[in-house]
Amino acid sequence: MLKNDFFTIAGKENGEGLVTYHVVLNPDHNIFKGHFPGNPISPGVCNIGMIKACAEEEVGCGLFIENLKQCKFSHLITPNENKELDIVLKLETTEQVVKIAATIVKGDTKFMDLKAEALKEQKA
Amino acid sequence: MTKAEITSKVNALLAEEFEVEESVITPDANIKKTLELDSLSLVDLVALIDNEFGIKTNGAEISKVGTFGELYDFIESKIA
Amino acid sequence: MQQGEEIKQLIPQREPIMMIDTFYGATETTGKSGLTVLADNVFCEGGQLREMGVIEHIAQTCAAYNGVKNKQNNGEASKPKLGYIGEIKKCQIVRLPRVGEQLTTDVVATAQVMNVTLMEATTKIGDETIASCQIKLFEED
Repeated sequence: MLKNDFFTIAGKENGEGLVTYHVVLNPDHNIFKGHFPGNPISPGVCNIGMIKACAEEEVGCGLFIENLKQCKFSHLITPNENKELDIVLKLETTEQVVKIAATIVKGDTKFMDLKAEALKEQKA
Repeated sequence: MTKAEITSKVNALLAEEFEVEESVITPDANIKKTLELDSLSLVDLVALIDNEFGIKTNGAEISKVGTFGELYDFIESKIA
Repeated sequence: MQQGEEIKQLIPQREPIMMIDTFYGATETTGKSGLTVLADNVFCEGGQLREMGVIEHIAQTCAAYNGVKNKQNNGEASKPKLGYIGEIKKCQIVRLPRVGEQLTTDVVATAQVMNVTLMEATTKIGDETIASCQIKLFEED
């Protein structure tokens, strides 16, 4: 939903038990016109959505977040100043469930972290 | 409730919620530093104490409380 | 009760990300809002309102509660303050709402320190609970 519209994936790197997605925000997206007028800030739910989209990319299917255990926003993401971001994922995948631990960072700045459990969705 | 009861209740509660050893919670220790509270987690502390002791703490009151000792005094005055 | 354009008096969000269309009112510690899921909702996909839409709907219910409080404290003309989600905990989503369904969300403010409000939220479709969470809203001065 957000991928290739609100943001794009510019690349990814595999680390030890982690995978990092490099993403780029689209400052011209309509969502920024409403959040907030003249003061664009990425909505917290869109940051969650970007993490989910990267996790979906990684597991190769759609996900339904049924349990968002914790999610803390430490820094606001503004699309002009924080256009490029790194989404670091640690996934534990079983047949049905994907456990997600993720952070959004850039350099030394941590923007948010999240722990969630998602169900794999069957593609129609 | 005696001061000693308040103290042991608070210490056990905070140690569990903020995942610290009870031994680091001493009357002279600074609450925010010891529990690594930021503006977001301070509200957890208030919710926890209000719920446990059946009191209603407002933000201005809790901001004046610096040490655990002051917190015990504060709770004692509220439930008195 | 506020509806449609009147909602803009209570929350700072604007189209296309307005996720409440009705505010039923607030008490000292509670607020209640509604949203009918439309097909052109920015968070709809495959005829369902996705998780992001449900959570944003909850967050804006909290924002509207704050908006009402703000008017009570600072006068009816006060504009809604900018606010952000600070933290979300224990957020369970039972199922996703479908286009045409109407959500109602109840929030209870359990604690407030300075500009951070801790709230408990429950979202229903009719009598069926479809989501619940604990949310902290951070408001600008």
